[in-house]
Amino acid sequence: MTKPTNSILAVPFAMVLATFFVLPLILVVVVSFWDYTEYSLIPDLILMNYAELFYGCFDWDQGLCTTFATYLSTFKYVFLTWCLTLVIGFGVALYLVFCVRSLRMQIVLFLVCTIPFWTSNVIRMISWIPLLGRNGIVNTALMSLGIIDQPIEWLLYSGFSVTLGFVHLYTLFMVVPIFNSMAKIDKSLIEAAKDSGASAWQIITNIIIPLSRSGIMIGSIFVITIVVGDFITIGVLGGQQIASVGKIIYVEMSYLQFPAAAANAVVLVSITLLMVAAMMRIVNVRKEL
Amino acid sequence: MNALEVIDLSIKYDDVTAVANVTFKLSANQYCCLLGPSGCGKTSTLRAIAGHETVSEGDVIVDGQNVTDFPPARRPTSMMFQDYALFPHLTVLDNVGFALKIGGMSKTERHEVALGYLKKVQLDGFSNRLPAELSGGQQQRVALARALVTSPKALLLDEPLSALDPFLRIDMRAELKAMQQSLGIPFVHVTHSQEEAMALSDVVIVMDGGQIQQVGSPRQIYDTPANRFVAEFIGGHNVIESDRGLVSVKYSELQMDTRGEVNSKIERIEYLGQYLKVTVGTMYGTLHAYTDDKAFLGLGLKVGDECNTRWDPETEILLTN
Repeated sequence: MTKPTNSILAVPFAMVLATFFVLPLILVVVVSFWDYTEYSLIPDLILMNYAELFYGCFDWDQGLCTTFATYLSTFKYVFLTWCLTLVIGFGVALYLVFCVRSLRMQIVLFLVCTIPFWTSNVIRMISWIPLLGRNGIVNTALMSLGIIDQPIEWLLYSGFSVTLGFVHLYTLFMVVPIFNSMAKIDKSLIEAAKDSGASAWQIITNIIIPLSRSGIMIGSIFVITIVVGDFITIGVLGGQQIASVGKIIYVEMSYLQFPAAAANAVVLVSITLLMVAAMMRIVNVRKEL
Repeated sequence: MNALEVIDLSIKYDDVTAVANVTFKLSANQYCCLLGPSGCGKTSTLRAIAGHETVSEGDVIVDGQNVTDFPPARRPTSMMFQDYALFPHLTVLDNVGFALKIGGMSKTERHEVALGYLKKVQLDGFSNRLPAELSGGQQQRVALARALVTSPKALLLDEPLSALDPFLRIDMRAELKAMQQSLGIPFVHVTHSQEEAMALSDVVIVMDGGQIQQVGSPRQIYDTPANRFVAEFIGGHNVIESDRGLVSVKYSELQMDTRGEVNSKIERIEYLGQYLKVTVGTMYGTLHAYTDDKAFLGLGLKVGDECNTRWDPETEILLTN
C-alpha cells in the first residue's frame, strides 16, 4: 500500500461495511438510549434501559441477578465450545498437515470436512433431534443392547446437546485457520526438532503450537464471537429451556422492546470486543498473517 | 576404528531406487564431500545417515554403533539443514539451546552452554535476536552452533553453503574446515559444486544415478578420474575417443601452435585472468585448453584461425565407460 490510489480497491468493501455494519451498529447504540412503551419508541437520551438491565445486579445478598446469570450461562457454553473445538480442530489440522503425505489426499480430506456445510445450519441442528431424542436412535440402540433400561434424559434438550451442536457446527471454523497456519510451517523445522531429540509431543508443544498460534487465535475469535451471540442452537437443541444473552435479545425484540434489546446488544458487543482485544494483545495476528 | 561407516546402503521408494549399494568409511579426522548433480542420491544418502530417510538395505554405523534402525533422536549424529531450518519463533540462544531443553537441562544451565557454542561461531553478541534479524551467513553459523550443541559424533551438512553469496561461501568453507579439524569428528557435506568439494575435502565421493562413481582424495579424483562421468563432472577434462579407447586429457595438457600440421580451428577464446580458456574444433570434436596468456597471445591467433593442437600421449588417462 505505497500508492494512495491503491486504497481505491478497498472502497467497495469499505462502503458495504459502512452501510450494513457500522451504520446499523451506530443505530443500535442510539436506540439503546431511547424510551419505549408497549406500542411506541420514544427518541430520548435516558439510561433507563441499562439501569433495568443491571437491576439488582450489585445487590449481592439477593444472589446472582438474571443478567449476570444469563451471561454466566452463555460464557459457560462459549468456554466449553471453545475448548472442545480447539482440541478437535487442532487435532484435525495436525493430522491433515503432518500425517497425510500426499497433497491430493489432503485436499480430498479437507473437502470431506466441509461436507456438513452443504446443508443449512438449522437442518444440521435439527438432525440431532431424531438421534438424541427420548425414543431416538441412540437411546433405542442402547436399550435394545441392554446397556440401559430407561432412556437417557440428558441426551437432548440439555447442556450436553447444546454443546454437542455448537461443536458440530463450528469445529470447521477452528480447523481452517489452524490448517492454514500449520501448512506454512517448513517441514524441515520438524526434522530439525527430531534431529535435536524431540519427541512427537515436544515437537507439538515447542514448535507447532507456537508457530500456529495466529491460526489458533483467528479460529478462537470465530468460534467465540459466533457462540456468544447464538440463540438458535441454544433454542433448538436446548428445548427453549436454556438462557443465553442472544435469546434474551431475541425475546425482547419479539415484544417490540427495541431499546431494551439494543442496550443488551451494546453490552454484549462491548464484552465481545474486549475479549477479542485481549486475545489480539496476546498474539499479534496482523504481524503473523 | 572408523568414526562413520556406511555399508551397502540402498534406498528404494516403491519401484524407484534412489540410492544403490553405497559403501564408504570415514575416520574421525576426515572431511568428506558427497559430490554429484541433483538427483544423484547424495542428499538421500546423507538423510539416511541422519535417520530422516528409511533405509531399504544396508547399515549405518556411527562411532562403532549400528544406528540403522534408530530414530534421528537416538543417533549420535547431527544435521545442518539446507535452509538452516532455524526455529523462527525462538531467539538465537534458544535455537542453539533447543536440544538441551529437550534433554531436560535447566534454563540457566542450557543458556550458558548455548552461549559457549555461540562464542565458538563468533555470534555471542546476537543471542537475543530472532533468526529473521540475522544475515544469511549469521543464520548459517547459528545452524552450525545448534547442530554442534549435542556434541555429535558426526556432523551432516546438506548443501550448507548454497544459500550464501560467493565471497561469503569461500570464507565459510574455510571456517567449516577449521571447525571440523578442531572438533575431530567426521563432517559429511553434500554439494553439487566440484570447486567446493575440491577445496574442502579429505575424501570426495562422486555420485551419479544413486551409485558411487569414485571415492578418493581431491587430487586422485582430478588426476585419475575413474570414468567418463567423473571426468566430465569434475571439469577440466577433455573426454576423447582415441585409438587407445576412451581417454581423458586435462585442459592444461593441450598445447596450441602455429607450426606443425593444421588440425584444428579456434572457436572461442576466453580470458580468465591467470590463464586463457581456448576452445578448438578438432577431429575429436570440441576440445578446451587452459593456456598461459603471454605464450598464447604471442602466437597472434584469433577466433576462426587454424592451428596445430597437440598433447603428450603420456598425459592421457584411460577411462572406463
